Amino acid sequence: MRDRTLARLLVLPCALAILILGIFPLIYALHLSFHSWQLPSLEPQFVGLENYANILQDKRFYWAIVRSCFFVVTTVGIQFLLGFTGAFVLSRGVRGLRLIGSLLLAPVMIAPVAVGAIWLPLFDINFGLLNYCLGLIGLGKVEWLATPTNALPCLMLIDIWQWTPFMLLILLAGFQSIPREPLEAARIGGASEWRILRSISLPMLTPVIGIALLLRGIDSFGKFFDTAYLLTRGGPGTSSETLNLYIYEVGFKFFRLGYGAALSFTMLLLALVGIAVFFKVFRVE
Amino acid sequence: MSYRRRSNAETMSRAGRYGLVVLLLAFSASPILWMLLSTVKLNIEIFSDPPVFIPQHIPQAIQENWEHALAPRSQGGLGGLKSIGDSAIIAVLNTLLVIVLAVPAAYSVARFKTGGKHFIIWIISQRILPPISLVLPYFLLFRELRLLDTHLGLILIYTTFNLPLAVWLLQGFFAKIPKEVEEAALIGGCSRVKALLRVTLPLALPGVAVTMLFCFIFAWNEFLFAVMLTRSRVITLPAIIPGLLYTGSMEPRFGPLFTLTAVSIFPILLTAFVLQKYVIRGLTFGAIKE
Amino acid sequence: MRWPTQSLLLSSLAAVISLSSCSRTGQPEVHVDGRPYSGVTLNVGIEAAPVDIALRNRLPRIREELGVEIQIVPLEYGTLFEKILTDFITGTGSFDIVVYFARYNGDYMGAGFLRSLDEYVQEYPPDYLDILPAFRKLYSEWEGRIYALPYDGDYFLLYYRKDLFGHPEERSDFKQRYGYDLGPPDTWDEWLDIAEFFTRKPGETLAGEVLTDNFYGISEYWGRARAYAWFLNRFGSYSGLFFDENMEPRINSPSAVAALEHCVQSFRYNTPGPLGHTWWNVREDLLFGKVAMIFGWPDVGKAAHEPTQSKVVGKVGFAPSPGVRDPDTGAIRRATALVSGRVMAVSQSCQNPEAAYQVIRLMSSQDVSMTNISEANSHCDPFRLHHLDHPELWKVRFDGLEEYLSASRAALDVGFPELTIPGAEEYHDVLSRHVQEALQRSISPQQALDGVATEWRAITRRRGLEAQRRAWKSQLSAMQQLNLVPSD
Repeated sequence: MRDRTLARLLVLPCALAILILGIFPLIYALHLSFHSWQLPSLEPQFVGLENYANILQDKRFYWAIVRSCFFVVTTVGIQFLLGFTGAFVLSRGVRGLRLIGSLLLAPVMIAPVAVGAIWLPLFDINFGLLNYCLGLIGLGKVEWLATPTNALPCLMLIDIWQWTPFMLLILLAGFQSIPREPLEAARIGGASEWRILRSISLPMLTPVIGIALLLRGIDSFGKFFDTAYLLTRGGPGTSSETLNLYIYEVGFKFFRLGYGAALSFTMLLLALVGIAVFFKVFRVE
Repeated sequence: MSYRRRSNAETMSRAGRYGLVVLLLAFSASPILWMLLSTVKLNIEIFSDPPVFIPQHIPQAIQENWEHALAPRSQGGLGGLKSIGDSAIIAVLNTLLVIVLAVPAAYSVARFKTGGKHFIIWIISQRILPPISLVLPYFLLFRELRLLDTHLGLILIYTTFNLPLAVWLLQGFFAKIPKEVEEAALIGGCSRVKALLRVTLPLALPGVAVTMLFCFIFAWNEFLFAVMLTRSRVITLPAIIPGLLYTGSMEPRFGPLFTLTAVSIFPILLTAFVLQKYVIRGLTFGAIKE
Repeated sequence: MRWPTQSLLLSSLAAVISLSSCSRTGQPEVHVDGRPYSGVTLNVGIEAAPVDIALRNRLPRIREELGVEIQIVPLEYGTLFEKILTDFITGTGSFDIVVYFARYNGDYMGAGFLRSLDEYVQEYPPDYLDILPAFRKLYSEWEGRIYALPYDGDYFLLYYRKDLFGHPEERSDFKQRYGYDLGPPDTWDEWLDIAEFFTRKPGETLAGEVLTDNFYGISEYWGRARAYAWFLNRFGSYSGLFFDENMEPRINSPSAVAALEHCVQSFRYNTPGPLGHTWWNVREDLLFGKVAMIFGWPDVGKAAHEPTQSKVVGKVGFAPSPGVRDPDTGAIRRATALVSGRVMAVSQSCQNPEAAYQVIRLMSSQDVSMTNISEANSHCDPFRLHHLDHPELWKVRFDGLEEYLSASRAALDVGFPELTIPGAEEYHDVLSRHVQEALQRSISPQQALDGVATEWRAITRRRGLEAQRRAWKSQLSAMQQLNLVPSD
């Protein structure tokens, strides 16, 4: 009995903090989304579902969704393919990976905005290292961030650079947690590496793969903002405008608070839908 | 299959693997190294075509870049010193706040399974939440509470994100500690709380340290809220960077900018090295343990 | 752990105390020891270096003459608008004086966040009529009252390589190809010809030398932040009407579309990456000898003669923007975009408005502002007749200063403003976005400007048609008084 009470008491401060800091603002945001409020006017006006109705007709919003989805699917996909291949190759064993591991994880741990600051000069048309390397192999200069068709791929390139080693390490951990015996048995039995991979390794790796894809997908969708804000702000035009950037503009550049809140909630909804779909497809716990 | 051929194949495969590792290292490290190199270049060396691989004016560049980076805004510098201070204050205080709230809660969950399913749901939901959906309400709420542009404001917001992570990680560490150790203390006459403080916590100290480091990293790196909810009195290191790039009226001085960037990533790199064992666990929210 | 609670209590306490002290309304200044405002400290919100350089250089003088201590609060260019606006909205009162882009006038002056200065102007005149008309009517006033004084007048000049324009071979080539003499262009068509003429590949000759690199006719700032400004530079002379009297957008009128069409045609003569170009790309392209012409702010002229900043010392000529020739009368209608000028104003929360006004007045006075705008590296630009009429008083002297000033005079005579109504940033951003899309040829100029008109209507509706119309009427009448608006 006393243990029960103690247990509750111990959790109480934390639970209160969550309620006040996490849940209350969300509810407030929902409340806001039913109003129209253009700063600097001091009075929000109740408009019911009008914001959401406007969202349905907002072409810029749809394009932002398309870009976000394209971004997530492509970057996570490429990271996975590269990471998986690398992990597979390295699964035979590499010594000293612990040491290198922390170096490979550096891109992931430094601030995303620092990542942007690091890559910005690399993309420079005249002084950037990338164009210099292209010049060395005889190719012409590319207008990286300044071209609408290139802007989003540049951002994707940065994301892939950041997270591929991370993916690789996760999948490698997965590979290394596969018990040796079935693998050895299969090898001795004459099965090809490819067969082993398909029939033994992959099924055992499915949970790890699932988690890795899920987490990266969520982060990529909801949290990719810092680098993009720094490098393109959604431009040129709106060619690299993902959902986060669009919501930022609506809410913080032009101070359309009610509509911005409605957009954020719609984005949250989309994220939930995406996750539900993912679970259906992957059937992971 | 002769013995010799297998050995050759082995060596080739070994070479291939180590080659891949080297490639990976180069891939990950080169942009960062290039930036670090730029911190010892003069501006004309940074804006040079072809690129300068061996800076010629290192002492002068270091002096200029550091001076400009750290000098206060009011004297035309980048205000690096103040920003380092702001970032440090916020990150440290936030970490402390989170730990103090999270340790009892995590213990409770680990030992008594308090919260059950609800707890798991909450953890996951915080992970999914796009931060931008909180920025607007927080902006308005802080406006009312006069918490805009304050250290306290950011400390509170970061708690929203760090708390679930901390509870989850700590819960995992606490669960690892055998119940018997506590039982022994209880039998010896300690109350639960005393047992927690005197016995469990010291044993879980490495785990607590790891959790604190992760909280610190998040608060130190955080950008969106830092930029949107501060104006001029509080400027964290990430928040300073966009202003340096888009001056609109001046060519950006990349040397000092990179110096500040290097300063801001240095604690993190150090932490990554120290934390290597636990990084993957922390970054996957404990889902994957290595 | 109790720390956060304590600090919350403390800050609430502090808030209460400061609120109560705010309720004391302005008291008459006490004049002591010859310095009228001794003991007054004022916070000035201003963009960080280099914009604040001029202010910083004048701090000793402000202290000496007025006794006022200035605390500079540097703000980031990218978030200046939001930061000042949220400060006004929340009533935090961090700034006594704000220095900001004149296009925010609608959001600051129009919303009542700034103090009217009329009473002080009466008592302490600021040589108001010496300020050029555009900067008076469009920058400093709102609905007939004075709220601000200029800090930095910004306008575009056409900078061109007069050495190339004067080269005999180039001149005869040009005359052969186009049928008239090469010189600073009077019309946009001529400007386009020159841009085409000077865009050359490696191996071709330029002024008698064989090129090893690409050379381009022009470099323009088509980056998202100011794409609208480079469009406005043409729009002013082609059309000039943003909205009609009922706030109906006229940005997609046939003449406006023609202006955008011209931008699209000239796009290919730019140095690479024009959609990412910003202020320093354009400036550097000229000063490092990569292009034949640019439009730029007046700072380029000051730097062009400095060997540390320019590789084309002595080779840069100055001219006002070209215009559009009226097919019937043959008269050329010119306009020069006035973009990013800055003004100084006093916020409502200021405790010492008279002292603040005196600071602003001193900074914009003939004497002090002359120093501000003519110092090297000060990033302040002329806004008074006094500045243009007295080259001998300029701190920075260079060959061609007279030419620079007379070109400036011609440019400023036809200065054409950005929008200064509430929400100007939003309207401009919409314009920038669509201009960029038209330049990429993903949509036609007509489609682009139609899109702008549609979005502008939505913005107007959202902000309240009546309020917007009223603000626009005020700007429109000012523009009409300055003869900037056609009968189109």
